[in-house]
Amino acid sequence: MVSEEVVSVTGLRQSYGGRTALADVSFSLADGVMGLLGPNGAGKTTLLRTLATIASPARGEVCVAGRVVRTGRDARLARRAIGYLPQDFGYLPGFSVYDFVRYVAWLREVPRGVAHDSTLRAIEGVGLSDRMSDRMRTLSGGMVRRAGIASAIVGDPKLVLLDEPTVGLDPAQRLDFRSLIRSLGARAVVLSTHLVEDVAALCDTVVVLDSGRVIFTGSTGELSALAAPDVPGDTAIERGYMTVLRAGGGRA
Amino acid sequence: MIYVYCTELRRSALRWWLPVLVAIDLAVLYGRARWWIGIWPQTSVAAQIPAFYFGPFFAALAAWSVGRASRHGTDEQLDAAARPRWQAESLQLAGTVTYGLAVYLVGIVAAAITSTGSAGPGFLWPGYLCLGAATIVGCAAAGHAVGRWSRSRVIAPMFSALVCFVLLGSLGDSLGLIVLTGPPDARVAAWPLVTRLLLAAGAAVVAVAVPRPRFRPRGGRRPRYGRGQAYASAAALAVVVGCLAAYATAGSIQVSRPSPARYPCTNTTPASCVWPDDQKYLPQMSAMMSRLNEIPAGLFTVPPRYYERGLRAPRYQYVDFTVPEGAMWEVATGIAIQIVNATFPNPCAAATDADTAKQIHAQYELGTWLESRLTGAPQPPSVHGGPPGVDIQAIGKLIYTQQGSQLTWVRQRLATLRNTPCA
Repeated sequence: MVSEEVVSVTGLRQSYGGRTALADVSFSLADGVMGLLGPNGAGKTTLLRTLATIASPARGEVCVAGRVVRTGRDARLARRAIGYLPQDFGYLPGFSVYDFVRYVAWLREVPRGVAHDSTLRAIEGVGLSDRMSDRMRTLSGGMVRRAGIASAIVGDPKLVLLDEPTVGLDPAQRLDFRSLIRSLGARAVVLSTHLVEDVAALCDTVVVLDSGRVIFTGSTGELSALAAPDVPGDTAIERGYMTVLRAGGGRA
Repeated sequence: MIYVYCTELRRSALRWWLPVLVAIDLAVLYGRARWWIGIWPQTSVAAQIPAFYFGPFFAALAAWSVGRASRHGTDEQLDAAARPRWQAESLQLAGTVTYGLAVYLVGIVAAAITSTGSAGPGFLWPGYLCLGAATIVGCAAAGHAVGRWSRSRVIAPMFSALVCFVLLGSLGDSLGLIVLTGPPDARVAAWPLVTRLLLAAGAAVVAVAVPRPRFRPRGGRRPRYGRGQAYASAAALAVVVGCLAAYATAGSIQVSRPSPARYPCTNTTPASCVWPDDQKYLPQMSAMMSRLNEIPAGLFTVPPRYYERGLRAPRYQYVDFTVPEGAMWEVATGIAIQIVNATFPNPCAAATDADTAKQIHAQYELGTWLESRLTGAPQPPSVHGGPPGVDIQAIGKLIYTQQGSQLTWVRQRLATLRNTPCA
């Protein structure tokens, strides 16, 4: 049903300079985790920035939480429903974890009456309750990422956009991250990553982008099922991904 | 919003600088001069002077502070925020300004406490204090604007501080952005003060409302969502242009103050009268009048009463004395000129240039002698120069000689003046 869709994109086109970054991208997402796969330069970050309403579409339509984003006012209202963790996630080192997450809650216009509780919930959700008063600058890289995720989920946004959230994390931290994403519960999460195994472990659906075009949309099982025997990869989904890329004419 | 504002205050690096800034404030307040103590308008101006230093300082800090987003990479999160960016930046600027005004306030309180014991009726003059506050806010706003428009972390603060320092240092007094002295016959004009406050507020509005340039557009076209920002920019610029126009046409920040119905005078004959604000000078005035009475009667025509400028009608403004920076020598100069002029009212034009020169030289020497007698000391080293051709040091020594020899010297000058042949 259309009413259940948290985000939908129709005929989206993006370009900068003379280069097309996204071409006729369409998909929709209800609750669940959607993986966004693709090689470097495929347009993943551009797509996430467009979904985050930072960049307006050159053509096409973006609808978030039932609101078609056409104007600045639309964008601001839609952003209340969007939690966004950019790839180059920045933080204020002098702020405590609580201050930082609370600050982002304020930026998202989480109502004042619930901001405190929502901040505590978000911090608890990422397992940083015992470090809540610590300065951001004192946290390890993994903890900073968790604080970033807390800032993305504070206020319970309907749509959470995570751009390469596991970059720089060691294997144990990546496992923690997976547990964390699973614990987010019923909400729409778009996870952009290079790591196919993260997608296999976390995502309900997968969108594969190459050169700005969607070359695959389906479940992780469907992507695995496409695996050709002669393509490189250690797992079925990796081979499925490589198969899709090869069929799409993209780079491996 | 209050919580975030408080967070900005709590987490600001400025809190560590607070003791240093307060020390600078007090050093400027007490280190520059102390003659203002006991005079409310001068105390108010003295408390305002640190704004001259804090303006450039907080301009630099605001420029540095607003670079936080690019330094720490939070630009993307701010761009993705539901809340307009100007609100976040407003709180940042408000935090910087709050620290600036807090430090400024400490100086004001210290100045008030210092003056309370010795000052006459009244209290601090809010007009001067508001002017200093406007300077701090305006400079911080300018620094904020430069900081968000510049890519450099270092040049923006330095440029902001330098521009504010040069502007205030070279033109601050003449443009009425800062006041260096608060004589009792002057007051702060309301409308010009309002225009300066509006200008500072307008600068703050522009600093946060005008969209910042995008130096590194990434991932798609520049957002069309921000079309309303063009209107905000135009409106903010219109506000500033309006404030500038009002400021430019408002007139001088200091205007004449109506003379009071009652004012204190020394209990001496002759007497000296000062503004109520300057009543702390009465003991020095009394001593001066006593020293004047030590000069034998008959030598000079001595007016019975001397007035501080502004107590009498405007036509006396070039006759009556002033007490600039508490300098009693200046008071003596004003009184000495009145005595010489009263002794030789309407002197005729001398017959020759040589006679004119002798006449003027005698007047100058008598004036300098009277100044030294009135103050009971030679011209102080802090007073530079003096009447042309007058041997200041010789007259300084003369006042310590026997009265008789002094009177002989005086009568010679008086004779010169009386015997000058008229044209």
